[in-house]
Amino acid sequence: MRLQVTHKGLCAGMVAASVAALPAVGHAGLSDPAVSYTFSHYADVHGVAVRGQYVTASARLKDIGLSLQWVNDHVVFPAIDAPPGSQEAVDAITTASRPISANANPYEDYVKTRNSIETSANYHGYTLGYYVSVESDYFAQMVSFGYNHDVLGDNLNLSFGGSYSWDHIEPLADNDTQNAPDYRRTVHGNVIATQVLTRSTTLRVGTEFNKVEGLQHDPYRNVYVAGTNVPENHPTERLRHDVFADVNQYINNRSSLNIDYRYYGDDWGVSSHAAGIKLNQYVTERLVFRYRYRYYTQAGATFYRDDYTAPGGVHGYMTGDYRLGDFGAHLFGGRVSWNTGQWLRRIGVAAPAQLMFSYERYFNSNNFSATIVETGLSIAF
Amino acid sequence: MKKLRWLWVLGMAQVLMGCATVKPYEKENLADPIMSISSAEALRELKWLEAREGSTGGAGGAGGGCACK
Repeated sequence: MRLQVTHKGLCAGMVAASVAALPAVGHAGLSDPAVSYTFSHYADVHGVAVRGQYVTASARLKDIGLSLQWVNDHVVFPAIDAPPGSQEAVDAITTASRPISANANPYEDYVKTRNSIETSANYHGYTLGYYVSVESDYFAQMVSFGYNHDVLGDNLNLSFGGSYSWDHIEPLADNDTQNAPDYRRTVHGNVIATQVLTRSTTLRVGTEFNKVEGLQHDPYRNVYVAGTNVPENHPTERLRHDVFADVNQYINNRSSLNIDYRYYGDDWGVSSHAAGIKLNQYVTERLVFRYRYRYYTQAGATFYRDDYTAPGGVHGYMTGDYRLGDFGAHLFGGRVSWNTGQWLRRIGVAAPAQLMFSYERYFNSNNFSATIVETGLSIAF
Repeated sequence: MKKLRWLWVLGMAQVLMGCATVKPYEKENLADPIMSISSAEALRELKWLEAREGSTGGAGGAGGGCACK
């Protein structure tokens, strides 16, 4: 509990310090300031609802580009919808990915919030960043660096990046699972090349790797193994890698087509293919519509089973996480964005702004579906 | 998987060799906002997709540090 209060104080302190610092930065020669606000709402067929708010501010201080982003997520896990004491309720409680104790009644909604702050500074292609995220049971920090450079007559951009994150996990009180403090460490690296192919075509290719160590299962979830209810257990190390490519093509009727593909694999046996297509189209000079579709398919982890019949699971590992099984998914939706031009002058804001609204639907082969709605406002002063 | 790796290596080689020399004044279409790829949007999407799928990546950003997965 003491940890939670400390981290909330740290987050509040960082926000207050950032806001207090803005006037001073202005006097120090701030230029090109821009702010944006995005609200997102996610709701799925299981009743999980996530309300996210993103506030981003950026500016230049001489040759240094600065950015600051604050994110607030409000997550609601639904109450168990089954008669108390029934087998259905017991099963639902056992597999719940939320704490269940005297303080977190399974027949009431469980609410958690997450706050994070990410800052970065960019100087002549070099980028340094710091990220901190706070939840009631999870505290994460990350440092990142990157470098990108244009070569071949500015027709090729090469980018290298890396990060190290260290997370402290302190599960909340729970009736029947594991609540010992734990950790997770992640080392990340990426290499990305973006090439101008023609006057209207660009190609981007990249590869990324992540090495993750520490707790990687849900400490609140149990699994039925050989008829017994036991805590979920995943390996504590995971090597993840992916390669991706996307082509962006400008089309002469004032539209653009983006086609992307990603292959992912890891040493748990999960592999996946994701392919997507996006079509952007100017409807008027300031109004742009976007339509998109994404297909996803994955092969599951070697230790994933629909039913564990042998004691000990598979080599000691057992999971109730459907994300580690075989499945396919579809995502489609649309977005409209409107460049306000000088319209905001009417309400006293003499700066160009952009309003955005998007609506997307996600389905997978496990009879899961979700709706994602986003709306946002960006102003460049 | 090996074939995919070779395809990726060939793609990288193609990129590194440079396919065309496009002058700055010929990049009007490339500079149009509808040609930009928003990393902020990609990272927002990756956050909720990671909570629903067993894979990650493709947004070109740093990883780790989020219990929302």
